[in-house]
Amino acid sequence: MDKETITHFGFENVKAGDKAERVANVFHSVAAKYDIMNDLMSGGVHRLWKRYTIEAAAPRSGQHILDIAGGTGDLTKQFSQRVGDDGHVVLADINSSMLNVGRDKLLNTGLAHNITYTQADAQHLPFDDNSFDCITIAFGLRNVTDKDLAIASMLRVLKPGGRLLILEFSKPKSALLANIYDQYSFKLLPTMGKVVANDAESYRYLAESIRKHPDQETLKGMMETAGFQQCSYTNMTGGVVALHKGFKA
Amino acid sequence: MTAHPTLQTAICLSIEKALNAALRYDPATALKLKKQAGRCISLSLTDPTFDITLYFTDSAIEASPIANTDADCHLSGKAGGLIKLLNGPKKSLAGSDLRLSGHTGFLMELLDIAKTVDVDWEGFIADMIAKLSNQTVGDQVGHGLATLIRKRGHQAKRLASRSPAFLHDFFVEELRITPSKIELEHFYQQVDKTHQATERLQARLGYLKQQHTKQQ
Repeated sequence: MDKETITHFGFENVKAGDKAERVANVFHSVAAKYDIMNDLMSGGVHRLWKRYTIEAAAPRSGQHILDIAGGTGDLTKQFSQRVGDDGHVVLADINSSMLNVGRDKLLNTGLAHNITYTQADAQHLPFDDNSFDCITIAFGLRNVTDKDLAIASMLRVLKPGGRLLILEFSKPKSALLANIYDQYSFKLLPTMGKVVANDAESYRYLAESIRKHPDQETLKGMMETAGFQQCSYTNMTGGVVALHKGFKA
Repeated sequence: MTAHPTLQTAICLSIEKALNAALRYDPATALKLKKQAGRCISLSLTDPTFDITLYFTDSAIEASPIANTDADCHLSGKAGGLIKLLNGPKKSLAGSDLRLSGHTGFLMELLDIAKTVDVDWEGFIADMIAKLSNQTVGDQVGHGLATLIRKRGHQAKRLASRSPAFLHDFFVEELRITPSKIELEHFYQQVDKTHQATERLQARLGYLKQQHTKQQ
């Protein structure tokens, strides 16, 4: 995607070259309160979505795992315990503030022996081809400027037979749920952001970016186009969130 | 993939937490399960539909909402059948709605362990109350409550583990809320004596009354 190409930042149209910086500013702003806001916004359900992702990833002892947009390290923590001393987990995030929060949190829980922290852009992953058994990206893909480029980059660094799991907000299946969800996202969410994190705008962007993200079938198609095999998805909480999974042949 | 992944994940997490919490209060079972480390059992249940895979590690049990097709043992069938199997004396699947594939021996070992579970519930409750009390009313009160619960719990456990004869002794000798057989026999003798004395008194009064009527 050319830097001058127009893309979206929430509901706003911006130049592709500007989006990364604006997204970065959002996450610099929310990093300190990210965990508490996630709990508050989802009523703690984000922990269940992430746990299901970990189970679907089925990490095994000795495996190498890349957690892209790993932020505050929720997935990395579980992966680190499951791959054991012989395995390795790379926590990657483009945003230094999020990465710092995640690193401090994991170090405070005593996890350090098998985790590496890398500030990396999902579109241009700085790893060798065929490096990882499993890649996850949870609530990160919608913030990436060129999603096709990012998915292709993930395919490149995956080992043959390796699996990619994308956990992301999606489109609710029922019209009633979609309506309630819209009211919640655009009215309540920015207010909660204002009260708890003193930042209504960032949370408005988060809600808008969810609506601009490809729906379940579109994202599955994007994975297949990139070259992933056996692509499938699981709707969670009525399709509010979907977990996509695909394998590298 | 499951029909309600969020709900199933929540249930699996609750089961995992409950099992691991219970195992902390049943060291014998925990030790037996440690020998199963590295193995897993996958359950695909119906009525209600529910998938769960239990992974046994050195230190804990992990519960996953996703059925593992490579599990050491896979059990499928009605949820009610599994509950019956766990609660009843039988270890055989014959006559039940359950179907088994994989290592039969592994399932039998797990059933053996499940049927000998002996969780120190009063210890568990006492610790929970102590923890809650410490947060609300302070260490000393919390410790006092926990000690009281442990004491009563031990008494109840001792009581439950003994024969009905012990129950009799406990009520008669310890609580003294019911009389012993000797006391009862003594009481009945006293009643009989009182009865006889009353009859004698009645007869004497009748005799005196008769004498008095004759003198008039």
